[in-house]
Amino acid sequence: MTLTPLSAYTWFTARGARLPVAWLFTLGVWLAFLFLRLESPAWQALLAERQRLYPQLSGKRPSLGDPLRLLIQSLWLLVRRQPVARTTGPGRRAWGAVRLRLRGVGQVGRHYRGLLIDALHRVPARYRASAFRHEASARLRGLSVLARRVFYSVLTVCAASLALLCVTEPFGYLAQLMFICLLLGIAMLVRHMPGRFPTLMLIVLSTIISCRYLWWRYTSTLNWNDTTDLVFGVILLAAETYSWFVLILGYIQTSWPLQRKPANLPANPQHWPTVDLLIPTYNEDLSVVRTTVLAALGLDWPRECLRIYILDDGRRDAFRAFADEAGVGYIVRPDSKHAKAGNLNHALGVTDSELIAIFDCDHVPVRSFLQMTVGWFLKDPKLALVQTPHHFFSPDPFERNLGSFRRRPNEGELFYGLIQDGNDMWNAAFFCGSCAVLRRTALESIGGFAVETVTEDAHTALRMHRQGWSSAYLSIPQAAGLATESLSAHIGQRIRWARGMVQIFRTDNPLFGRGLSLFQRVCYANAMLHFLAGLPRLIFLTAPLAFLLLHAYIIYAPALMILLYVLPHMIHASLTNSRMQGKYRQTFWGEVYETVLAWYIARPTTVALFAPKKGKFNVTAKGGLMEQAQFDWRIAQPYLWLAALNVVGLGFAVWRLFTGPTAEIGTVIVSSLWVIYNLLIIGAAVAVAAEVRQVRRAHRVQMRLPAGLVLASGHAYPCTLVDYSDGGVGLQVQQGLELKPGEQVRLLLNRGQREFAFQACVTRTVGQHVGLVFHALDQQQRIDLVHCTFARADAWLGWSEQHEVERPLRSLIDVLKLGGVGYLRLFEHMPPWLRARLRPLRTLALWLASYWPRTPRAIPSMNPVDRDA
Amino acid sequence: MTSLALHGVRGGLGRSALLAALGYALQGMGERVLLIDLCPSNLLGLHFNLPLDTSEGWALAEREGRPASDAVYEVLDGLCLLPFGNLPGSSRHLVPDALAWRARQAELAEQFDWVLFDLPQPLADSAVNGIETDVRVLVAEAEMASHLLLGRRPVEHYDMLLVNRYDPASRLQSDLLMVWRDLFGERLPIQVVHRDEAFLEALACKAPLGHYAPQSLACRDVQSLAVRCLTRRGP
Repeated sequence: MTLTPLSAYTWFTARGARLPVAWLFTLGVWLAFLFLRLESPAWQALLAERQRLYPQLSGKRPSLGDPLRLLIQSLWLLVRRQPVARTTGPGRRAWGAVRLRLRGVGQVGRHYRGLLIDALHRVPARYRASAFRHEASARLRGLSVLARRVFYSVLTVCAASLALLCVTEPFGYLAQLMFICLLLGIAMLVRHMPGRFPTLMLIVLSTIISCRYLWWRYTSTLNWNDTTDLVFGVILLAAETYSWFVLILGYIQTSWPLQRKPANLPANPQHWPTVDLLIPTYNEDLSVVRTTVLAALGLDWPRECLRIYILDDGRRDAFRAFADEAGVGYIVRPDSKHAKAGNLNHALGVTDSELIAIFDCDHVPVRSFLQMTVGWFLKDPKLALVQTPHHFFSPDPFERNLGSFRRRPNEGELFYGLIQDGNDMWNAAFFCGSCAVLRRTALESIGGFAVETVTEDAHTALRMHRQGWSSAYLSIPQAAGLATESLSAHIGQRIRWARGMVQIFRTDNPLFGRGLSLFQRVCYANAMLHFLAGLPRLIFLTAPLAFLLLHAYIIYAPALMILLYVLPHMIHASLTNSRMQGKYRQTFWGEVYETVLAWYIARPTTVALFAPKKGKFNVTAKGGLMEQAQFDWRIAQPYLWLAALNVVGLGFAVWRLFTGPTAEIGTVIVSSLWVIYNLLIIGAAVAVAAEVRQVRRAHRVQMRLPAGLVLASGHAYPCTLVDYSDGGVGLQVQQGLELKPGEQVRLLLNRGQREFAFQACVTRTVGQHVGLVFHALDQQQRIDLVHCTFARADAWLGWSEQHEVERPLRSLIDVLKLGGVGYLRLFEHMPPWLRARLRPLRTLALWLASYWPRTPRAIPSMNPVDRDA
Repeated sequence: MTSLALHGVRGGLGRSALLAALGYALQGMGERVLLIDLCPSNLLGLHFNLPLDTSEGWALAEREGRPASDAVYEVLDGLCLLPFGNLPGSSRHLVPDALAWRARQAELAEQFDWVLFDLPQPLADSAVNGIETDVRVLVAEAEMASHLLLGRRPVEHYDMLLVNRYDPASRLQSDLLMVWRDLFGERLPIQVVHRDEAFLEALACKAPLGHYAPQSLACRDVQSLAVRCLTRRGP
């Protein structure tokens, strides 16, 4: 039913509006038709799209607040940049015309901003081609070595003294404001220039601001007169010093990622070294290990130079039988000391190839793994390790519970995408336990894999570095595996890593001892310090409560001054991190990940820091299939207490606002803003604890491959494989092809130039999407299927293409929205008596949220996770 | 104008059907195509829905002293067909005069972009003394007789090897194809056309494959062949 003056009243009453409201709105519609000419094509096109543009009004009963919602959403649509829509239909063009008419000024501003950004994009190229640079480099080359050294040292001294001045000079309000505006202006301009040098520039700016902030905190914000103030102030200052330290070390570590390319192997395969591929396993299922072994059988490496072994600590007969059937080696040992490291050490003793490749039992290698990695061993005789990324084709608990699988980079991508690459620059890339190749002589020189700590992989790499061996990192995903199944398993894994790293920090400290270069020490130290973030994060989450509850001045400075120092520090850090890490982790998501782990790693790491041998804190992993959506109360409990504490603090804030001295209002407001930010971050952590239902056991991998389908009648059709898993595949067929469930078909898949046919059975058809399952495949066919799907050389390369573009502000808003969502989910999972009490609060919150403007979505989701749910 | 002929290592490999499908695909890509049937069995026209009792053809026109262009049929805009014709009596073993056809090719040049010849098998067998075309495609099937006969031919003479009726489920076929890629991969590009019922049914419906089953796998393979031929197009 379209909206016309005659049908307006019925339109509103049909949607359930009350009589006075319907009368009022009908009057409004008549006025609109009279003055705005709603019957014109532009308005009609807009009205045709109203369900997409005004999602909060569609399907809702018309009520008195609707005109205000309409107004807010219209203003938002005018101001906001639209996401790219797929087709420009007449509706969109009309809408565009309306927008253009109403936004002349905004258009002009945007035009000039675009010109400026273009000019900034071209600055590095113009500089490289400019006469100044050529002249300057010619002059420098013309100088003698001594003169050049003098020049550089004078330059360094000047720069250092300027930096010292910037950092330590105390400023008043106006001077500080001008200083930060100037630096922010430079940063905003520089961040549009592409290249590495502008990144270094941003790092320098951020370092100056952060050092200045810390200097100010140490010199002017501790209240020596009052003990409570001093104690809390010093605790907070220690936490801030820790995060400053990690920030600076992080900048050093990742300032220049090496981006190593694979090295060429000699042309004659006779000269390629022998490789032992070890797959240690303990209690995992055979189906998981089978795919790995079958993919390993398909590695592109001369057969006589590759030996595959299953190292079974569980000593199971089924595995022995499978190893015989597949033609791979099977190694057992009499005991089970030292878990995986002991297993590997035993295997070292009974094998004899030059190189050792190690894969966890669920990490499936692609066919090009050895050809990509081994070249470097032949190029550099002192190379002991080549590590490749751990790529996951299933969502980890964060992605699954927050619904962001493949739309945003996941938690591990920062480490495997950027940090290890940065480590590689300083020859500090370390072993991660799987998907790597090591040199046997290097391992023998350190006496085998390290067994003293829980993270034996990093410790082994540290020992090899001390002996003078070097390491390499290739950031091309060459294997993929399953991510942790549930939040508790994930946290358990992280606790183990944290404890192990801190144990290494205590027993084999990289900062001391021989054999490491300065930058190697920095990189290792940063990797270990990163895991000590639990306690500082908890301090940050509770710091403002010290003032609100106990009236302790933790930062003894006027509120305005605090803002002038803290905000630039945070803004510059976000800008620089967004520039360096934006592709691998969206800004502010690090806060969420850290918060979720903070409580759980705080105690083990503190215990390990003081007594490395003690400590047995292990969260038992639940694992397994998530039968129904549930809320992990055990995991979320500490955060609920923290959230409750913060809510109490907020209550105190309101009380102080009304009854405290006027001079303190600024501080109360700043503290309450901090508390609200903390509450939202805790809310995001709570959102992750609400586990989503997991529908199937075998994880589906999404990928587009050309395939063919041959029906029983002999007709053949081209189709596209859109997802595959251990159990079956999903195809997209052409329009008009009808398939019935139960039909026998043959699937044609390519691997390089070879084509394979697999007997399959249709399970279901939904529109153009067809599900197939394989029944009677023999061993060779199973191998071929793995080779056509999991083990393709390009299987994991295009993973980040579907990631949304990173924008810091948008990312911040996403994280804050997630906080709200977290509390809503918590409400849904509460016991009924509590839910009844809190229902009015929820209704109030939802009513307020309905006024919030929304961005219309143009593109529907292709996520199989969404399709399953 | 570019001329093309399909040479078979032996008879019965489906060359007429392939030629018809190729002509249709090329016309679909905007080329002007003329198909000439040099086989006395006169079957090419049946792929394009020519009535069964059509007796007109270039051989008949020649016998009766008329120009050969009298017998050209227009199937679609840009797709023309010159059948052999129904010759009475036992004069079926007519060997086409290569020189005469070269002269005719020159006069056809300005009206067509592609001239496709359907060669009879004894002629297709001999690489020399036959009709010389710009593009020579060798057709084979992935089975042992083809493999043995392929070994007796000078493969350098040809521009492409087309493997027809390919079924990847058959181990012999996939192994043979691997062997051929190994032996000829460097010297001769290989194009595969899958076994598809649609190819057989197309002749039963007297339509070219691209018209009868445009969505089939074989049609896509033929289109791929057409694109490869386009890269060998003459000036």
